[in-house]
Amino acid sequence: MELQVLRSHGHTIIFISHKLNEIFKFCDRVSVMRDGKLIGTHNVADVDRQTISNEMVGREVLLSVSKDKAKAGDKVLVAKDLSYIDDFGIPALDHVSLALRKSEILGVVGVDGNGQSELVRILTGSARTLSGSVVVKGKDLTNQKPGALRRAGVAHIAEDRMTVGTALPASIEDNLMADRYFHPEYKGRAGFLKRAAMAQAAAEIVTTFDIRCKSAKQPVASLSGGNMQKVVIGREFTADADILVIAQPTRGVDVGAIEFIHKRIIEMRDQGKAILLVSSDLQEVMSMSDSLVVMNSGKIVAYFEDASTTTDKELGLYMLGLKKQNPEEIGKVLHE
Amino acid sequence: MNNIKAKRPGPLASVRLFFTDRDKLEPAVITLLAAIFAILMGVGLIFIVSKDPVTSTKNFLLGPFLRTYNFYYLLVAMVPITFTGLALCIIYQLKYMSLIVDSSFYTGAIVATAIGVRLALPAGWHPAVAMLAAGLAGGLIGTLPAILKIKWRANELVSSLMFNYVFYFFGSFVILYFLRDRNQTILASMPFQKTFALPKLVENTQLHAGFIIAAVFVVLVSIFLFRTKWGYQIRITGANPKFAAYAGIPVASVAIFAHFVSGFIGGIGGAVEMSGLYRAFIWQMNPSYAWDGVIVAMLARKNPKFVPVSAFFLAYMRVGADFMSRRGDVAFEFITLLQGIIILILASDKIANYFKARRLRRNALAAEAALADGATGISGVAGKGGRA
Repeated sequence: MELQVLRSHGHTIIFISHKLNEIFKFCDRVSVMRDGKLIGTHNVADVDRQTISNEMVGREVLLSVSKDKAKAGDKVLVAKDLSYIDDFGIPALDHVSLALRKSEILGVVGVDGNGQSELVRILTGSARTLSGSVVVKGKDLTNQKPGALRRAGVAHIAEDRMTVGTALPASIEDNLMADRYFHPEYKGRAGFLKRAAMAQAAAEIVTTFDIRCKSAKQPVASLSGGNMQKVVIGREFTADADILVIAQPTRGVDVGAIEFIHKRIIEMRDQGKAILLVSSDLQEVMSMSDSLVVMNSGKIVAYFEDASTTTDKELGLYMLGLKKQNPEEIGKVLHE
Repeated sequence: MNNIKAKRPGPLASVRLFFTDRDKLEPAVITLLAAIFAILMGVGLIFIVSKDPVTSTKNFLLGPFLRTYNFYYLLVAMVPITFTGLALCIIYQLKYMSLIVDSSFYTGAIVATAIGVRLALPAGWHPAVAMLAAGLAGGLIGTLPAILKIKWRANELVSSLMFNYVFYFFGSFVILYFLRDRNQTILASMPFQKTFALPKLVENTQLHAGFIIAAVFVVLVSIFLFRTKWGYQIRITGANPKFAAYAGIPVASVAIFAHFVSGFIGGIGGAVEMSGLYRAFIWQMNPSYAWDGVIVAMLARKNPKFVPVSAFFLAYMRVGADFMSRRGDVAFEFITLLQGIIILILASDKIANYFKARRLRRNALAAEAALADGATGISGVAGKGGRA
């Protein structure tokens, strides 16, 4: 690692990160900051992850995800043979097929930029596939608009909450209602909105999802990253969808919010939702997922029906394209 | 921590809220300061160029109120810029830059002229039919830049400015070849039917019923933008079009529909102007009320509720400058300078955020000071780690 070389040459390095792995891998001393204040400084050798996490959040946090074994149900979303060619003419997604089942989290691992984003965008209607089909609960919704997929029960946590997942200048309330303002409980006669009902519903989400704000009327732009993500999650998890497509749920979010978000995802699974979880945090996907697929160069190169039967080392080989399962093994992801 | 009021505040409470909510109050204060600053600059200019600055200043500032005729004229002048201001509020809520409302307004006036000259309809119905037809024509024209933008990503500001030429010359062509009164030496249409005129609100003044119609549209557009699902779609699409699409809002149709409504209002404005103020179409050039609408909408911070206030202010400056120029040595055109100053101030984000930045900095420093005064602000695990 280049940083270690620099250190051995006598350089002083200040390394800023919220990823504990990185800190413990190549730092000697660590200082924790919270709310603009210095909370503590330790020798990395004398301190454990739990202490650091607690200092980062200001209370005891659960680092490991606890969950029961999945009781996977029926298939609710079947995607077959999806392909996408990006702006540079490179096939970003190369004939990918998978199925999502009720009460199951299917994790997608892979080095960033190996087709995960394109897969998510096609499954949620934000991009068009060149081949194949997307069938939701028996209904063919290939290349339909995001609105049609949402109406069919596909909720979507976008990987970028700043540019896609929220409208920053709009109020928290308006952000929370953007996918449901036309429902009969919010829309009266002649196109009039029931603003009081909308405010009520938004206030409930703010409370349940612990979005820290002065008022639901303030713009989303005024919130911290973690609370912004809670706005996205609060909306998508209350959308009454059967299928959740979740991309980078905890990217750039503090440890406390991560714990909260992970708990909520497991809760949704236990309520019977089918979940596709894409994340560049390998630890996160491995601990959250019931099943796993590995993507490399726009293809699925491995499928593990039980995520606990594999290790990060083995996944690494698949992620780098050094290893590949045979088509028969990969095909099991369709559960046919 | 979350003290959210789910109930909507009543009208009185929302007025009080406006004055206590600094995020809303500060932009209003800055707008007011911009207006005052422009007026002061105007007075300064008068003192530089005029031989009799005191009289000129008096005419400029008090002219609109010195004579009843002037005051009624001010109210009449508010009408067209209220319509274009409202139309542009909708476009700006969508975060588009189209100025196509100029075409909508002008073509609306042409359509109304055709109906006013050619059709025989009962009084009352006659201007109403003209307004509806003008609105439809204006609305359809209004959608053009939006369609070009969505289909081919053509910049809507550029395409709308080009269309403005097209529709201006097309309108002149229609007047010249189909509606011209050949007995007139200047370019004018044949006179309108008697039934086409809107009633006057006050006898022997120019103040016509169009003033009431404009007021009604202020209310309608406010409701449209803030109480209906279409307004919600427009505001969310304007706040972040990528987000709107992701949330399932049909952004393309929303943009086209918003432009239709905006053009519809502009078209009606053109018709109201014709039937309220004139006996024949006599514009020798395009009055370009859309450009005044830009100032009105900006001063109103794209909120239709404030459009009457900013329209009044602009009309006040106009009438004052007009009165002064006719009785002194300062040219009417100096008004464009003042308008430029206002736009510069309002368009500057840095000025707009000055109060807010200052307040946030003060609050942060105050919190710091309170902490230093002995309050134990650091809790829990902080003690364990200790401060280095």
